[in-house]
Amino acid sequence: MRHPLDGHGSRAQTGLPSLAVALLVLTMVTGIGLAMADGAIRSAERDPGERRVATSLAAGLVAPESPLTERANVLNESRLVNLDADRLRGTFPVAAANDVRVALDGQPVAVTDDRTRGTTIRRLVLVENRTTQRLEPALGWQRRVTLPRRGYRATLTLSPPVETDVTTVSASGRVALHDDGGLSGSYELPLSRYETTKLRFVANGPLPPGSVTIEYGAIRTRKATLSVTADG
Amino acid sequence: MDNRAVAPVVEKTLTIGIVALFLAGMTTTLFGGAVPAARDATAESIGDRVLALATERVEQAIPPNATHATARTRVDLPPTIRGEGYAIATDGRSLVLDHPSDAVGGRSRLVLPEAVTSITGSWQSGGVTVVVVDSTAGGLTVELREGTV
Repeated sequence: MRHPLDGHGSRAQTGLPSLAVALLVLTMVTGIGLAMADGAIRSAERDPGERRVATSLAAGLVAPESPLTERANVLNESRLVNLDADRLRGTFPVAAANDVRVALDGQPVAVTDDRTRGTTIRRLVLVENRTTQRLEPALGWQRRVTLPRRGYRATLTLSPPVETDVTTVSASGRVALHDDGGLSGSYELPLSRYETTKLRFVANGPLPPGSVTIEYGAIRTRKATLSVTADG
Repeated sequence: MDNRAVAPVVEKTLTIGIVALFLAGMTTTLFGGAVPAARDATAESIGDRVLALATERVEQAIPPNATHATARTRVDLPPTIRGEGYAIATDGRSLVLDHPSDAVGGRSRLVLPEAVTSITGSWQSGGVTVVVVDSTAGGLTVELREGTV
């Protein structure tokens, strides 16, 4: 007859291998966890010095008080074209002490170092281009002309035929110039940048093409990516 | 036939012993090596970033192209690194991070305009940390100060 404890005892001995397997699995899981944590720490490492230089130079370039900007984040194109490495070093001390590269849409603007490594900070900016456009409208029977672009000012040159007197010029419904004796010569018109300007002429005779010339300052902006790379 | 009943007792004792050994070994490995190493690595990285942040804030506190300026800039720094307080001091050219742990520390060169004549003061973490820029006859002075804005 078998003792009841026999069966119990032999079953209990099977516990040891399963314990060993359990401990092995636990060790492996811990090891994998440690390795993952280590990898996470290592992958989160970055060069804070390079990053600081790139961030502060990028912030300085697009700040409202920067010599390049018209207002915050809007760069003046002609001043941007004039920017070179010496000017960059003179204006931003951080660029003088470190190797930096400034590029607009991938095209280098100012480079104090031509290596391609380093930390890059990108800023979305507007590049503003101010030009003067000349318009010689052929006025129809309504004697109206709409300026094709918004601008900050316009120069109006009136040279009507001798028998015609231009008495009033109105811009967007408001009287801008008026003289009962007839307007002639050049006049400066301040314009609103926030609405499209319609000019209307009132005259007591014919206005052939060429009797009105308008020169207006046009602002063109385009979006661009300013990238600053620092190699510390 | 008396020792038959001993077998389960021996097995349980063995199990308890093995598990205790395993726990001891695991605890020693983790808290003796792996965890402090990970904390050191993280703290070193955080220390570098804090120092870079402090340097950036000090450099930004000075207005561009200015020879006469007064500015107060508050700088937010983490109160502790690796559970301990630290100090950031200046030695005239650089910012120096001083931390009780050997793994954390460093020095970062300040790049300032020529108008700046002196950099003084220090910050103790946990307080309100402020950069004070003032004009003097010779140029600008920069001071790391605590407590007042």
